[in-house]
Amino acid sequence: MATVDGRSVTRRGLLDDLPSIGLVGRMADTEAVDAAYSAFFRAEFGNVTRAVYLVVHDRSAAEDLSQEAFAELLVRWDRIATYERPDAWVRRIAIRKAVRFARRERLRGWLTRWIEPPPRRPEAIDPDLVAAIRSLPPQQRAAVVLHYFEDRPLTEVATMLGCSHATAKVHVFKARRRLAELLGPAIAETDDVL
Amino acid sequence: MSSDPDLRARLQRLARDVDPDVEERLERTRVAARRGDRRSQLGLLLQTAAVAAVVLVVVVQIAGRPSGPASNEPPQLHGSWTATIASTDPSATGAGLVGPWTLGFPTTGVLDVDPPAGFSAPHTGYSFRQTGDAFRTDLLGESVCSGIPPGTYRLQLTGDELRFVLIDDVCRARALLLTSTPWMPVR
Repeated sequence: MATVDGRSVTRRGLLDDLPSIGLVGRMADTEAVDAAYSAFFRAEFGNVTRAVYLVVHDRSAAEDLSQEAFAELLVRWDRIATYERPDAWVRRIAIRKAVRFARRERLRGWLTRWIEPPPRRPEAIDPDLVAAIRSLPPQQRAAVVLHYFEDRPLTEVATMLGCSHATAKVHVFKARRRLAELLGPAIAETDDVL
Repeated sequence: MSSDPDLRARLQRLARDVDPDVEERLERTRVAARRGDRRSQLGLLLQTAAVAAVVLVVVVQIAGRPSGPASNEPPQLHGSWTATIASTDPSATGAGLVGPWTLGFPTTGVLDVDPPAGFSAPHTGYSFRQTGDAFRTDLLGESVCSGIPPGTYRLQLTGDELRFVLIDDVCRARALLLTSTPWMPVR
């Protein structure tokens, strides 16, 4: 459950402590919920956006997609805040949005490559890595980001991608093999996934 | 966990380049959530209205269906029905029909007849057949309708009342018995 200063921040929890009838109680309740959500947002938005960026490789899109996920969280905050890991919920939503976005971008790239040049993106810090990851299918990109960047076990990767453990394992394995081909032996030939 | 330190390190380095303006995004998220919430409330409202409209249409259709006296469905004869023949008609009095009658329509096709106490003629072994709303019987064929072919009637069920509408019967006593008054179910 999300907490602020060690106290429950769900609406229900606050109603137990505050006068629940009357405008004063409701305002205090709303303010506390808002404070809790804001604290959560400040703690997690950057991390989620960075993970999303590694999937879509577009900063503006990464921020927009993360914002959409956090907006969905805010609408359901009463319920999600009671979860053990609200951060996992919002991350899952954001990553799935990122995968969908990457699929659309990939498709658009294929459809328009003959009629318009690819958009120029700001030079990334590690263009080789960006190019290598961009060559992966979106699900594999997300699997790599979750497993290597966020250091999540395959079980969590599977949950976030909405696939089976075995499928997540295959995504990570194939992605790593491809990255090894493109980036060199430093990436490759470890078998911790299998 | 991962034993690809190089890949992990490069990913971390790449991600560090992303540093969103969290406060600005928080404000924009609040606005987006309010808009989304309003949209979902509007969607819910529209859904509710659509469901209400469908329910209304169904109710109107059900209410508009023909009902009452002339039901199109042929009544299924079963159980026992009773009628009391009044003494106002001299023919009824002459044939000994006056009084309460009960007719049972078992699946065997043989009428179960319970005549008034004053009716002394044979009243067992008469048959009936229902086809749709058509009803054919040789009731009283061994007494007042002796030698007369079976009569044919149309069945009409109105609420609890069963009526036999004469189609063809030359036995006046049988027609009088069946058609002079509506028959009521015996409960």
